[in-house]
Amino acid sequence: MTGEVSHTVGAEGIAVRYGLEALRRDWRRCSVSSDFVGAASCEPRFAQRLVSGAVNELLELVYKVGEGGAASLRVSSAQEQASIMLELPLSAAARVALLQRLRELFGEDPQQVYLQQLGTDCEPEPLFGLLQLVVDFGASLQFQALADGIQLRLELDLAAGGGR
Amino acid sequence: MSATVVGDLEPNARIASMLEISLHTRPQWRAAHEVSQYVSRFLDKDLQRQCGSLRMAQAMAATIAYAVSELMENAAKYSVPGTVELKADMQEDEVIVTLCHAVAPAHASRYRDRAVYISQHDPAELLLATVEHNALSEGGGASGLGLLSLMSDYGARLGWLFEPQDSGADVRVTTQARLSIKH
Repeated sequence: MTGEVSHTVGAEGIAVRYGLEALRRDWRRCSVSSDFVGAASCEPRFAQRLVSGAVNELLELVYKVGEGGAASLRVSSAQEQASIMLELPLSAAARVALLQRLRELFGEDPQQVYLQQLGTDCEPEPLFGLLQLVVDFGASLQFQALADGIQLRLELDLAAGGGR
Repeated sequence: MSATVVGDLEPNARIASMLEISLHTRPQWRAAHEVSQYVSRFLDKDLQRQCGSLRMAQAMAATIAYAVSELMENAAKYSVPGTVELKADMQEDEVIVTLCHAVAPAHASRYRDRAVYISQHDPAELLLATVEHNALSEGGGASGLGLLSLMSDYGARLGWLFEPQDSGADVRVTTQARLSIKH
């Protein structure tokens, strides 16, 4: 059940590692987990909700597309900035596909993509929540390929409710 | 101090954890309640399936929350600044909660001696003796009531692993609580 993903916790913060099989047995584990991580990682209440919302989007992504043993999440916050990092295990093919989709959505003009998504009648974009965080809350999103998946990093400005 | 196993713990057990939490904030005891509630809620659905009834599942969830809280509060008493790691898993008919943290050598020796003493005596008798001792003591009493209650009242099996680190400084302490799932 455990994967090979590992990480270390920074000077401040919280890290959680989920067995994928366990996470998938109950959809509510995404929201239960995000509420916990939000509350445990920062103050005040508004910041906790913002972090919780971001974490929920990432965990729902894990739920929908994760493949393999375990996913790791790390949240640290300092001076009204929060950094959320997810290591998402994927097969090689799924990794390529998701990286491509991330580049398409978060490449040149995420806002334009976001507006197009709002107006479409097609099936909802699985990454729409992340798109909303970037466009509406000004979060910055970085992503990179790993040997066995993808790493996503969200940076949130907790004071302004937006990013840098 | 050499590596020491005390009580009911398999040092080489490979537990495929459903959930692992690492906290690097101080003081950890503030997080004890939040972590304990989270772990019990996370395991909720599996508990309902294993226990066969909502009432038993709720009772088991409360027991798990108590165990997690006690392990974390106990760790907070002895931990040096650093990372506290908690793992939770369900295997067949038991829930296993494992906590790892670093302890200063002087505290580790006393902690190990206390763990050895607990493991060699009846927890119910120890619990009663500790309560009586505390009632007669002025300005405080013996600690460990929570762990003794966990063993005596909730039937938990406890085990410890004390591992000195290469640096010769802090000791890595693993405390494991095994809780039988009641149907």
